[in-house]
Amino acid sequence: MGFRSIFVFVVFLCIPFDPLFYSGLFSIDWTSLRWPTLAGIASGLGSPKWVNLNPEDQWGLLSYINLLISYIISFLIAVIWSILDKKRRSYSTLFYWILVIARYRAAYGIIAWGYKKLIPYQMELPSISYLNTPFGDFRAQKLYWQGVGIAQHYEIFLGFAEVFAGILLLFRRTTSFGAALLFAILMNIALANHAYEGGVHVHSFTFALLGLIILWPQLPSIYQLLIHGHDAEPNIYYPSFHNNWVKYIRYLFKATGASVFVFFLFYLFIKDDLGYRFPYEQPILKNATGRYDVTEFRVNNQILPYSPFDSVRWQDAIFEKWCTLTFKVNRKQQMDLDNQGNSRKSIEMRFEYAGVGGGRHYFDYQIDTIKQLLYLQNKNRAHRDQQQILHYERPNKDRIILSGINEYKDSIYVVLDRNKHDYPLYQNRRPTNKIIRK
Amino acid sequence: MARTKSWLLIHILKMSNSEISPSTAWKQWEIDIFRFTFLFIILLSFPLLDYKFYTTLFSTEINVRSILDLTKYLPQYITEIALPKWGIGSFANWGVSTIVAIILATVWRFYDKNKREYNKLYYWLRVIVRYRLAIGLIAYGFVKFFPLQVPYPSLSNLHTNYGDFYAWKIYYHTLGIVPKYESFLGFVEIAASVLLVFRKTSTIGAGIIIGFLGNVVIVNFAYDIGDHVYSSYLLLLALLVFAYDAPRLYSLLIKQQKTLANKYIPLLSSKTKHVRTILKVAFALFALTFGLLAFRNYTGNPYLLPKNPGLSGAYGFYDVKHFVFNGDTIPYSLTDPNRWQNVVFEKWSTLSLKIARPIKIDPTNGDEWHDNDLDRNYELAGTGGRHYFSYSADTVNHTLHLKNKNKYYKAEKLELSYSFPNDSTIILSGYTEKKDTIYALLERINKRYMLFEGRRKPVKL
Repeated sequence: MGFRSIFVFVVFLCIPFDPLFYSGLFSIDWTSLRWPTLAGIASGLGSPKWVNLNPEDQWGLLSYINLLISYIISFLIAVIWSILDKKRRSYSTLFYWILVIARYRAAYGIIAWGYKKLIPYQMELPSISYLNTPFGDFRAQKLYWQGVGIAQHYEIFLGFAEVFAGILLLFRRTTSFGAALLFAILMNIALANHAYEGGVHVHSFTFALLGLIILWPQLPSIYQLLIHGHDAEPNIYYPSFHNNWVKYIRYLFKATGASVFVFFLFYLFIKDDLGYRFPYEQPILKNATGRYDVTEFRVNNQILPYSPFDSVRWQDAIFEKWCTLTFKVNRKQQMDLDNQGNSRKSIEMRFEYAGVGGGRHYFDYQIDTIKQLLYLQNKNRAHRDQQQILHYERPNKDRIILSGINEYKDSIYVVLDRNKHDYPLYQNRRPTNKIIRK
Repeated sequence: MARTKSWLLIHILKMSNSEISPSTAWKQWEIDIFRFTFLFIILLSFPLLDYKFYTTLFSTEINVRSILDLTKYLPQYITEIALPKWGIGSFANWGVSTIVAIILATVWRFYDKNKREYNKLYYWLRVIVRYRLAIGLIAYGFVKFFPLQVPYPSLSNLHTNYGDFYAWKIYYHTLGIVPKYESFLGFVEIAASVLLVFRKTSTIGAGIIIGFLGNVVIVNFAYDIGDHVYSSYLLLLALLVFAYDAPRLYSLLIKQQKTLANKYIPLLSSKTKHVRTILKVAFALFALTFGLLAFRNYTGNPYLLPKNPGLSGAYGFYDVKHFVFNGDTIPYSLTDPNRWQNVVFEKWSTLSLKIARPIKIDPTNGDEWHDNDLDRNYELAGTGGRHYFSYSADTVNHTLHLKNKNKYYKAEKLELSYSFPNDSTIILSGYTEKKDTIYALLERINKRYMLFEGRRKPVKL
C-alpha cells in the first residue's frame, strides 16, 4: 500500500502532465537554444496544478495544497490498485524503476539549478543603484539574494554543493549520500524561502521530498547499524540486466541524459557570458558608469534647489554598466511583486527594480550617439508610459549635462557631476574576494 | 588485572554472525595516525600552558557573552594579537600543535613500541571531542535560538546604503531580518549538540553538523567574518566524530554489502560509569544554565545593543527641516559638510546623523561584551554612512550630552537642549566641542519600508 501510493506520487511529481510543457517543448527553437530553456525543462518538476492558488495564498501552508492533493489521489489509486492486485507481495522491480525516475529527475533538476550559481548568474554583484539604496528599502527576498551576490565565491560554492548532490544521485552507489545531501540543502532552501518570501518554497520542498523518498529505504538499516549497533544489510534491489540489449539501452539512456543535462547544459552556461539579470549587450553611454551628484536642476528654465521632498527634482543620478539610468525623487511608484523577466529585451529585465522602494526610479535607455540623444522609458511595468528624451553633453569626463523633455513633458536641464564614493562594501576586503566576472 | 581488562572495549559476537570479529590489532599506520591525532587534538583543545585562561576563568563575570567566550577557547601558543587576522597565518597555533604533536608522537612510538591497538584511548578521545564539540555548539545554538548573536538591524542601519556596509555586516543583517530562521539555525545546533552527547547518536549528530559547519566555515571566509579559525576547529572535531562510523556507512551505502556493526562497546567499571553520569549531568546543567542566561539576556537587554532606553517619545527617523550653523541657516544639502541631512533616534540611547562628511569605519565586528553603552559598538561596527552618538538625557533640564561612539572620533561631543513642540517635532539646539553652535528643527517622517511591506500584496512606495 505504502509502496503503491509512493509509486503514483512519484509519477505525479516527476512526469509533466501540463500540456503546455509539451507544446513548449515542440516550439523550442533549437538553433538559438540558450541555457534558460534547457535548465527550465530539467528543473521543472513538481505536482500537477489541481487547483489554482490566489496570489495571497502562495506564501503560507496553503501553497502546498497541490502536493497534498497529489498524495491523496495517489493514495486513492493505491487503494484501487491493492484491490485489483491483492496477491502481489512485493514490487521490487517496479520500485527500482520508480526510484530511478525519481533519482534522475531530481539529479538533472538540481544540477540545472546548481549551474546557475556555479556559473554565478543567479545572484550578480549589486548594481550601483543597489549600493546607493538604504537597507530598509529592499524587500527581504532581495536582501537574501543580493547577500549571496556580494560573495561570488560563496555563490560558486553553493552551486557546487547542489551540482555535487545531483552527480551523486546519478550513480547507484552514491545515491544515498546524494539523496541525504539533496534533502538537507533543499529543506534549508525551502525554509529560507519561507523566511525571506523567496517564493520557491514549494519547488524546493518537492526536491527535498524526492531526496527523502530516495533515502527512505536505507534509513532502517542505517538506524540498525549506528544506533542499535547491529549488523545491517543494505535495502537495495537491482533487477538483473542479463539481457544484453537491456544493458545497452541502460547505458544509452545514461549517456544521453548526461550528455544533454550535464555536459551540453554546462556548455550552454559557459558559452553565455551575459547572465539573465542585466542587459549587458545593449549599447550604453560610454565611460559614464557611476553615481552623480545633481549640481543643477532646472524645470522649464526655473532652478529647483535640492529638497528630499521634491517629486520632480532628482537627488542623484546613476548610470549603470548597462543601459539603465536611475535617479532618486520623492515620488511613489507601484512595486513589482514579481522577480522574473527572462528576456533579453532590456526593458523586460525587471530584476533590478523589482522589490526596491525608497524613491529610486529605473529608466531603460536607448542611445543615439550621433544626435547625442537618450530615449528613456521607465522600466516599471506600471509606469511604462513615463518616457523622456534627453540630449547629453559631456564637457569633461566627470560632468554630464542632460537637457530635454522629462516624463511630464516639461523641459529639464540637469548638470551631473561624478561622485567618487568609495564603497565600504568593497573596501577592507581580502584580495581573494575581488570579483570574478565583469 | 581483571579489573583493567574489563576496561577494555569488549567485543561482542552475535551468534548468527559466522564472520568472526575483525582482528583487534591495528595496522601500524593507524597507530601512528592515532597517536598524532590524539596529541594534536589535546594540544588544540586544552589550556595546557595558558595561565591567562585560568585567570579569566575565575575573574570572569557570569553572563551569556562571557561564557560564550569561554566556550570559544582555543589555546594561544602564539597570542592572537601577534597573528595576521586572515590567511594561513591565522592558523599558526594549529601549526605549533602539529609540530609538537609530531615530535611527541615520535617519542611515544619509541616508548610504546609493542602496543597493538588504542581502542580504549580512542574511546576516550571520542568522549573528549564529542563533549568539546557539544559545548561549542550548544552555546552558539542558544545565542541564535534566542536571536542574540545576530540582532535585528537598527533603525539607523535600515537608513544606511547597501554599499556603505562591510560585507560581514551585510551577511549579519541579512540573517538579522529573519529572527525565526535564525532561531531555526540555533535549533539545529542545539539538536546536533544533544545527539553528540549520546554515543549511539553521535555519528548522526556529527553528520548533521558537518553540513552546517561546513557552510559556516565557508561563510566566514567569503564574508570576512573573522571566526574562521574557531569554526574550522569545530568542523575538524565533527569530522573526527564522524570518521569513526564512516567506514561502516561507506560499506553499507556505497559498497552496498552486509556490514558488521561496531563490536566494541566500552565496558566501564562502576567508577567510570560514574564519570559518564557526571559528564552527562554536568553537560545538561551547563546547557540549562546557558539557555536560561541567553533567554534572560534576550528578554532583558541583548548584549550587542545598548541597554539604556532612548529619550522617551523620540524613537524614529527625522528630516532636518531647518538647520542653523553658527548663526547661518544652511538649506537642504547633500554636499555641505556641516548640514545635518537626517537624524535617527533609536529605541535605546543612540542618535545617528547623516552628514556629508567622510567616515573612518569602526573595523571591529562589535561582538564583545561591554557594560557601557558608549562601548557597545555593534550598531556602527562595519557600518559607514552615518555618525553615531551615545547620549545621556537630563530630563529635568531637557538637555542631551552626546558622545561620538566611533573610536576614531572620540573627541566629538555635543551639548544640546531639546524640546518637543508637538508629537512629531523635536528642536535641538546647543554647541559642539569646538564651540560651533547648532540649531536643528527635526520632523519625524512616517516612512514605509519595503522590508516590512513584503511581497504579498500590491504596494506603492
